[in-house]
Amino acid sequence: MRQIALLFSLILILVACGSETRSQPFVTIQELPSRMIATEVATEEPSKDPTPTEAPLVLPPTASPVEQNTEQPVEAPTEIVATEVAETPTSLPVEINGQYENTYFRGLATAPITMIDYSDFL
Amino acid sequence: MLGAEREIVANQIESGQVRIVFWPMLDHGNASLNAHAAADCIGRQDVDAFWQVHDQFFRDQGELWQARRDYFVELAVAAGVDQFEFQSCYDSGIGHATVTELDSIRRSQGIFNRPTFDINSQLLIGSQPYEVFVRFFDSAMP
Repeated sequence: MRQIALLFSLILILVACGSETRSQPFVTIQELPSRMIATEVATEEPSKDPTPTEAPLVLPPTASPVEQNTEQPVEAPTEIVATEVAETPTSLPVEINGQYENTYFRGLATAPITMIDYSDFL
Repeated sequence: MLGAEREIVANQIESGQVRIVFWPMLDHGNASLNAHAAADCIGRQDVDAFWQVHDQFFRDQGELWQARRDYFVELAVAAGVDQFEFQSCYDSGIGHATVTELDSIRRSQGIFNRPTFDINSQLLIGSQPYEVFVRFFDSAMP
């Protein structure tokens, strides 16, 4: 009787082991590359982080302000010239050589000294 | 005027310090009257041409004693003014009347010496060297 019970328990053990091997998930050959790629991507991302020296080398912020600075001074002088030109037309409407009491004067109408020359051509 | 006028023009007039007014004196009859009338008719068209002719008259004074109408017409054309407009002015007597009126005004002011210069109401009589004019200009500066 003992032998029968022992045999029966052995059978049960064997059956139980067979069911465990079927339920365990197997990794197929097709699944392996995707898992490997996933691990590679994961390893590349951390490898970018430790290279902070590359980011400052790009230096786009310092390059673009330099270009703006060079353009602005060029535009500024042209604006100054425009204001100077605008001032000149309003400053000097001075008459040169004109009429003076039915005769004629030579020079600027606004000259501080007027010299009347009483003369005969002959 | 002539004499010191070139230096005055080059220094005091070009710098804007002085302006010269020409006032006719008719001391030599019709010769004076016609020459001044011709200059006036040219000036009515072009003031710069007046001063061009003014300078030429003083340089060529000798020719003015015998000058006729044709002489003044040629002079006006050479100065760049319109010939027919000049002839119209000269023949109408407008220029003659104008310079005659100016001459009577200076007589009424007691100016009889020729030349006489009124520099900001200071009178300078007779032809003077340039240095004398400069002293008058300096003292007349406001």
